[in-house]
Amino acid sequence: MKLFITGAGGFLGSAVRDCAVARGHEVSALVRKPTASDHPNLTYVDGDLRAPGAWTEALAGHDAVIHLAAAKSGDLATQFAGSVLSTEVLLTAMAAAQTLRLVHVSSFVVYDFDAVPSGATIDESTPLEDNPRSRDEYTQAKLLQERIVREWAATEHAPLTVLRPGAVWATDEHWDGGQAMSFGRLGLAVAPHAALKLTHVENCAEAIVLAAERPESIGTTLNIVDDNPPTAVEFSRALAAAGIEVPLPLPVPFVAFRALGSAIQYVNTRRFGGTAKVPGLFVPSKLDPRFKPFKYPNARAREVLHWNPRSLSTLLAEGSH
Amino acid sequence: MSARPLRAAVIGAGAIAHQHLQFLSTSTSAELVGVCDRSPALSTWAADTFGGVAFQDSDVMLRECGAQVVHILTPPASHLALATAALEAGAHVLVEKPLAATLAEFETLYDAAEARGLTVMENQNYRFNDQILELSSRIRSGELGALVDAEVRLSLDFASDDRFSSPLLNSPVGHLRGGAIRDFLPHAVGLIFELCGEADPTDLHASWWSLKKIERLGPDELDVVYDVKGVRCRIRVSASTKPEGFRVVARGTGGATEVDLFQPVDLRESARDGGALSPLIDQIKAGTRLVTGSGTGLAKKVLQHTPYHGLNRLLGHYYHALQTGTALPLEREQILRCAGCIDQIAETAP
Repeated sequence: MKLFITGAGGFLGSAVRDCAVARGHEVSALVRKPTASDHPNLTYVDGDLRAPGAWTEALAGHDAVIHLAAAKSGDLATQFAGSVLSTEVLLTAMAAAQTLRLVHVSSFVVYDFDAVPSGATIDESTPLEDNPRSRDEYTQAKLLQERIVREWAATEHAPLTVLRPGAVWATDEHWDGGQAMSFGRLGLAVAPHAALKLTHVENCAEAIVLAAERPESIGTTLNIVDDNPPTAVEFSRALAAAGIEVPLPLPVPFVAFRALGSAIQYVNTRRFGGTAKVPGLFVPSKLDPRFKPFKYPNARAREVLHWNPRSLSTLLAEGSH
Repeated sequence: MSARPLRAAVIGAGAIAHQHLQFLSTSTSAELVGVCDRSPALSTWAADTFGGVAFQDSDVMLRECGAQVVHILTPPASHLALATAALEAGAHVLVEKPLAATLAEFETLYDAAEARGLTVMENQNYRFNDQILELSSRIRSGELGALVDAEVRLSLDFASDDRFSSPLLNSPVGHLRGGAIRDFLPHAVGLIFELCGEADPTDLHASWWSLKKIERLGPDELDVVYDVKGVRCRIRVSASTKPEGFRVVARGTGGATEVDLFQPVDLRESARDGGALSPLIDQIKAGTRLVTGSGTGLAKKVLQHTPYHGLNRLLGHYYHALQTGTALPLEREQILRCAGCIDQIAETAP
């Protein structure tokens, strides 16, 4: 297949690029910094999605676009520019080039974690957040990004797959073992026995490329989470056992943190009209998506994509990055 | 009985627009009737979030929404055309800085507004921040004695902002002499006038250079000095110096005050009285002020009293002035003097 990959210079994007090339695809990788290709099946395309440019001419003739580009940080305007405006430009260019097959990489953050009781299952049928402004800038941008992608696909009758990866990790991007914060060698494991919605960058990249390959994925929305995701304590221990430095997890029950957050929110609302800017860990609507205990089945992605993610122990034993 | 709210519309829904829209959605002086942005997603989001009707074409919005006031919040190169169109549609116009590229363009717009009995104003929100108003008041009251030096130092890594530095994007200020630095000058120059009073600058010397060596960016360091009413003024813009800050310092014969608009700490020093214990007492006073200032600053941070709070105050005054027919918070003469000073500085740019 001829694949056009946006965000191909990023953490997940570069893994998708490598996986696609390894699986024999012809890849055009959109990057913001000029890069020399070291593989005959890989062509780098210089471009910035926020502005139509020469890169749009490269879109024609591709079998599918894998859209990973998004802003990960910054204020709301920056994240809208990097995730929403850029997607609008891409979709307009795709329509013009009549390259309509799209694998859109959304995010797990779009769900309404408050609507699901603690301990229940989050799957593809879980409702989306209906109060975006209560969430962080990244969530607001990803929600809007996914919405315009769906609207475009409906208008253009475009074959669309939406993937929602959980927390993508690698040995050098391990989220402090899933801990909320660290103080020197000690870390705070909020909800120590709750599963982390982890997916290793190589597993996730494989799922994304499989989605482009498999026609069965068209019209589906799939959560991408590895099998049997570990708890923060288990993850930290596994990383430490593999020689990766992580803070020693200090377990704190989720309900205790949640109660503290609710109390702070009550005071903030009553005393300051809700204007006080409080760290996300103490804001229930921001705490829940990260640490509220849920189950994260991946049966749908495994079935549709014929995806067999490698286990945590295998990945660590193999020394995957 | 309170005046009727003015029908307001916004062109450009990115970046700074969120601050304007927040004001317009909560003010009793304004009724947000239209939000225009080329991006359907952004204009729709803004209208859903803050109110009004979403438009993607400014001409259509100006024709259909009957705005009495139009905020133009787009990249600078579009200001002149959009402001002219808004004036022709019969609206007062508030424009983000820089209102136009040259003093001549400023004058053209002001003349066009006055010919229609309308107003135009550039946003210089930092002049209305608490710390600046307090500092101005301290200067006017004579607390600092006779003012000798006024300095504005902006340390901000704008070189890492790829809107300015990326060759893949159209720089919003690429058409302006002085490049990215020029984008910050309206604030800095306005603040100097706020401290020193209104008079044309004299004896102006400027140095521009580049430490980052980013071709697209042009100079990323500026040091300019000039005189205003006998006060030696300095503006220093730097993309490299740390920590980042927006410091304003006034030094007079009776003491000095330094404020940072990014980190709201207010450091005051008074002239010693020369008594035996003066050094010790001054040190205790300075320490107390530092602790108090830091505590106050932290509280402001937590309560989101952001550096943009001056914009709310400016907009409040602006709408009140339009409703009552009184003087705008920044009058033609002030804005044109700023533009003239910026032209003088920009002429020295490489």
